[in-house]
Amino acid sequence: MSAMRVTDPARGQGAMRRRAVLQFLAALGVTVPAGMVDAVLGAAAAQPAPGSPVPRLGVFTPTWPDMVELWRQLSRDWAPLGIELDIQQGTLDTFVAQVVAEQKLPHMGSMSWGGAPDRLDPDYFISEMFHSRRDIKGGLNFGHYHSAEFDRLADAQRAETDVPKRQQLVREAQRPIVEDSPALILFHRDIIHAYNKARFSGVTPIFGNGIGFPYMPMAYMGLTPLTPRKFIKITTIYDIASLNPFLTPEIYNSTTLRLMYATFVTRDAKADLMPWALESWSIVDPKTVDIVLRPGSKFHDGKPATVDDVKFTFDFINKWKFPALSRVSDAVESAEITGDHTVRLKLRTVYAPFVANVLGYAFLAPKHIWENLPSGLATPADWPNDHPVGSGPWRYGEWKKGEFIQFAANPDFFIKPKLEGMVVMPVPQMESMVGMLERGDSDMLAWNLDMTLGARISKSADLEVVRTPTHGQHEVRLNLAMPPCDNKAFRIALQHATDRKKLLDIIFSGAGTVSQGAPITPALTQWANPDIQAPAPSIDQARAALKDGGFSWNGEGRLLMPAA
Amino acid sequence: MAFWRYAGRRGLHTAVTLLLLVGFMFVLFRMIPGDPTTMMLGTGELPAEAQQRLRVLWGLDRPLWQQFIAYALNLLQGNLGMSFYFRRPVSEVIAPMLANTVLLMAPVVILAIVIGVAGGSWLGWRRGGRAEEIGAVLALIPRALPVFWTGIVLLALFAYQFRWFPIGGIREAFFFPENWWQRLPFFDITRHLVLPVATGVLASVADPLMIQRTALLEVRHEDFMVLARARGLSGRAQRRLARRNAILPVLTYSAIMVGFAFGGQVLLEVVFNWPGIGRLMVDSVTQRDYPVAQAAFLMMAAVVVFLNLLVDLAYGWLDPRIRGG
Amino acid sequence: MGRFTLQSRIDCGDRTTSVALLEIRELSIRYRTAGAGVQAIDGVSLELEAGGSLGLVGESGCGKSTLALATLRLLPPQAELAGTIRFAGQDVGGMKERQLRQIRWRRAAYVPQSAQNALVPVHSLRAQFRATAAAHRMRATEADRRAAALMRRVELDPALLERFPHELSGGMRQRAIIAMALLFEPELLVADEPTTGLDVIVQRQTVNLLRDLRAERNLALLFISHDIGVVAELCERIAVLYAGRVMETGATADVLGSPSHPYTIGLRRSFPDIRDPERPAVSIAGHPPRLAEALAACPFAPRCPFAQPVCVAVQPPLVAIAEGHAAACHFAGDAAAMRSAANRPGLWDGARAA
Repeated sequence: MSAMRVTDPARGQGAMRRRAVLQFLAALGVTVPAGMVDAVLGAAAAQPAPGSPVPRLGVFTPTWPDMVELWRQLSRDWAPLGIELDIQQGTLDTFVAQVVAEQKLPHMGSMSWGGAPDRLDPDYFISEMFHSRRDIKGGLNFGHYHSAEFDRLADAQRAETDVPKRQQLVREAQRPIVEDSPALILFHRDIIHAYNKARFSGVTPIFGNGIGFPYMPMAYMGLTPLTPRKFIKITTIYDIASLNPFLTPEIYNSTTLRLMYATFVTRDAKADLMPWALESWSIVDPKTVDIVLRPGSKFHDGKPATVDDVKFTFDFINKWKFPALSRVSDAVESAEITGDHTVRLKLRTVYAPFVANVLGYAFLAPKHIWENLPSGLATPADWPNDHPVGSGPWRYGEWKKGEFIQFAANPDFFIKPKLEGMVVMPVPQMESMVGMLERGDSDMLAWNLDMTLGARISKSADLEVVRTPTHGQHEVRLNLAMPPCDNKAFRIALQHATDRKKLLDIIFSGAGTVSQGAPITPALTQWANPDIQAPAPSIDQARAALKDGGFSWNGEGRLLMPAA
Repeated sequence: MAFWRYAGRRGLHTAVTLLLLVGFMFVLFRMIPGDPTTMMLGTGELPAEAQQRLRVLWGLDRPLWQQFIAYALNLLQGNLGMSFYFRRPVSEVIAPMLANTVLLMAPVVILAIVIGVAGGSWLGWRRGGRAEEIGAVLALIPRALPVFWTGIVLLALFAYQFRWFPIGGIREAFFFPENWWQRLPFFDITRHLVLPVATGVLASVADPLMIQRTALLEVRHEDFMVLARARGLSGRAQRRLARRNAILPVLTYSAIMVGFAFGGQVLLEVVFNWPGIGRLMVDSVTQRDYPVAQAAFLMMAAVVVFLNLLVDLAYGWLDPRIRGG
Repeated sequence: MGRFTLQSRIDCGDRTTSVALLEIRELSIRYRTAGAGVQAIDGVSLELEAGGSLGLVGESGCGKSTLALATLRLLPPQAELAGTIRFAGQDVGGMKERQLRQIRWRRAAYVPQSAQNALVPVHSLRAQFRATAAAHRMRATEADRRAAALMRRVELDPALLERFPHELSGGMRQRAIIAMALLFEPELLVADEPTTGLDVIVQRQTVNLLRDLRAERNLALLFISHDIGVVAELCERIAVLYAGRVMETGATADVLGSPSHPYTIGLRRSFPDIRDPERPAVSIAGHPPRLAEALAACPFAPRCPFAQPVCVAVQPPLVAIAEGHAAACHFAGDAAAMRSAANRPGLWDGARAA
């Protein structure tokens, strides 16, 4: 039985009205899966009768090559279970628009989650993806997982500021995920970057960041030039959209701006929290945090950075409630100056990831600039901020949209960069990026390489490929509101029928970490639960699980729903 | 004065066309599923309240007809609105990308038309010969190939193999000339232009070429061409006369070509990492940045419409028969 | 083949010269086509003296226009020429394009069949006068001066020089072309059906104009027309063409006064007779042969009311029947009988007389 079929996007009822639009957009390279929407609606309407054949399972997957390969493998590996897949491909914006914003997941869908620094704290992958509270439009629990037990543990870990106790709760919370199987969490693919070792030394691979991403600014602090050229040229895929740090929550843009606007804390080379604009912080009680500004700090315009600026920053964010900084205004109730360098933050609720995700995200803003903005703006987030002034290790040089953003080293920062500057160039094509590195047009490639390109680059004597583990992950989310995925036996069977190690080997040449079935990578030993294990890959066990669940097969080997 | 009445009527048509386009575009982009606030913020990372605040801020909470009236009124005052994604006036977002696109597409269009007219005339003049057969096939091959492919082949050859030209981009971020000719003004930009322009010309030269060839073949059999020989005109003068009389169809076509050139060539821009309007358009649709998408498409449509108007009027200049009647 | 060359010479005192201005010998023209090809002209010999006039008549498709174009080598490249064409003693057939340009328009001008499209539609008349002048290295100021004078000569307002062809009537266009043809005071004017498509009054004006110009400028005229009446008025000599061959030739008065070839007789009858306006015009039934097909020995035989078996078997040579008058008919000697029989009603309706 051929299990893989890609739906014609123009097929299906209700597509007629939009067909012209879709064709027009398709001509522009924009794919809108009308077929997907129709398939979802059609499938939801058809409740399979007990004992009837399991319907073709709708799958939504992004068009990325790794995802295409994943479903080629899975449709082959799952065929012995007697199920057929109806795979629809779409772009990321389709995924966001349909699956996240509209909560219209077919039977299942695959997605990969990047290793953003705020996802290093386990709260993100636990609370965002599986808490029943996030089963709303725009939420990431689009598989509709509901477990009171899990919700309790997830809430408890979030409110627990005592680290060992929280560690225990986080580990406990992963157990229901593995047992209930709302998702097939597959593996954590390594970040693979490359650089020119003849020209630069001192790269710092950081967990979840690699050597080249701007997420963790410590990655750049050790870079040392070996040739007379003292600035490094880095290529990546994205360009920033704005120089205003209050505007965008998008990770690449916000972290790039934070190279200039120092966050209060950051991650060190081991990805542990370390003070950055701060000298230190202390948790006074679960809802009170004292932060101490690093003495002698200066903004790039030479003005000293003081506790007034710290207080101003939090007041400013609370006043304007910037959507991009909502996690800061949601967490911090007030900021009071309590010493020459100390500010006391009062929190609205107890929030365990506060230091990592609020102090690690909020940045020090110069009061003398942001309180004197020109009038007539709906919000300060609309100010172009053409000459950013922060207190971070890099000063603004020049931004030419679509071409480069250039930074100069800030010698006043408490760790002085060894470079004179950095140029980050957005290059939309992987091949071009590799070519530029090989030709010497760039010094570092800061985007996820695959192993084939990595092997090619490694052949060059001057170039080195660096692999770094990450907490980002690939998963297949199951729609628990839709039969047969609402049946736990069926989900367990899929777990058994899925060989994570084999998939990682085939898709990414084994460059990564196989998941235990929980959303926390085993590489993150502080939070991973060593006692859990994903169901062993075995087709026999998969079929046994289905049989135990009341499923059966017809003469053609097609899986039948359990009898009533 | 017949001319002015004609020009006035065509101008009115143009205005109505543009008005319809504005409305069509407004509705069209809002029919794409997805909300700008969601699209911009990535995979659902914002709490619902924060998202709602953005919608209010961007005026997306109001009924569609109110949004349209506000948009249309702004447009009348020449205000294209604010980009959701860049939070800058749309004109500021589009202008630099448009400049880049013009820098790339102006030579592409000019070369394609000049080479197309010259080559098409040459082929038309040599109708029936072996040279004509080979020439027509040679011109049609790159047209049949995807721009992407042609670009990559040129890159593989001239950027990777011979290293004569850069891999992409519009200029080197920090270019340090090493000798006198590298110090020439525009050296760096010219160097970056060669391959994308060559690719663009290869892909787009066939149409004007074949149009000119066909038009020339028709003109060749006109009585005035026989009389031109009888009048003792030189071969060159005869060819020039044929070209001149065969130019109208190419002119019509070039209006469309220029219009689309204003929309950039997305694939060309991607292959050569050229920060132009084409990529901006695709990105703005992807990000549901309606103001930018609308403005970019509107601009492209307006250019096509206006150039058509211009060509219609230029017809009168180039062909006096149309001027009168 | 047994044909002999006709010496078409007009003894007209001092205008007679020893060398003919235009001399065509045994000219054959074949168009290469995808099929067998088309024999448009088959062994035609003609001569035209300086200042003389020769009319070529025949139904459409008989090769008149091909012959006219051939005199200046204006045929498209797929036309193959055999035989000789001499202009003022020079072999036009062997000339290079550059040499031809010395003759074209400067010494031999051409007024085409359809004045409609013969002028370049996108250029004003002045521009076309100037371009013509420039092609022969004449200055624009001189061209303007001459253009104005010639326009006046053809009774057109010189202000019309600023106009574009489509702004003029058909007759005005034809006269403008004639004016342009006179730009270099040529010795020969080849006029290919210049009156076709014009209304009767304008036709008359054009014919008068050509006649006057010829008289005042010692202009030789090769005049092509299907209209015998016009030819009779303009030309001293006439050649009747049928299927690419000369059927009859001689002084106009002889040929039209006592036609000796059945085709000429028929053709003559198909036009109203000025001397006998009451006589009805009768056209010859049938059509000229399609030249791609093989022809009968006498190409007119299938339509000829006097045809005999010999006409299909043996090609009749062009034989002299009087001084300077020749016909290609086996029965040219019985011409008087044929002429009288020609008035019989129904003779030309298609049934063979035999």
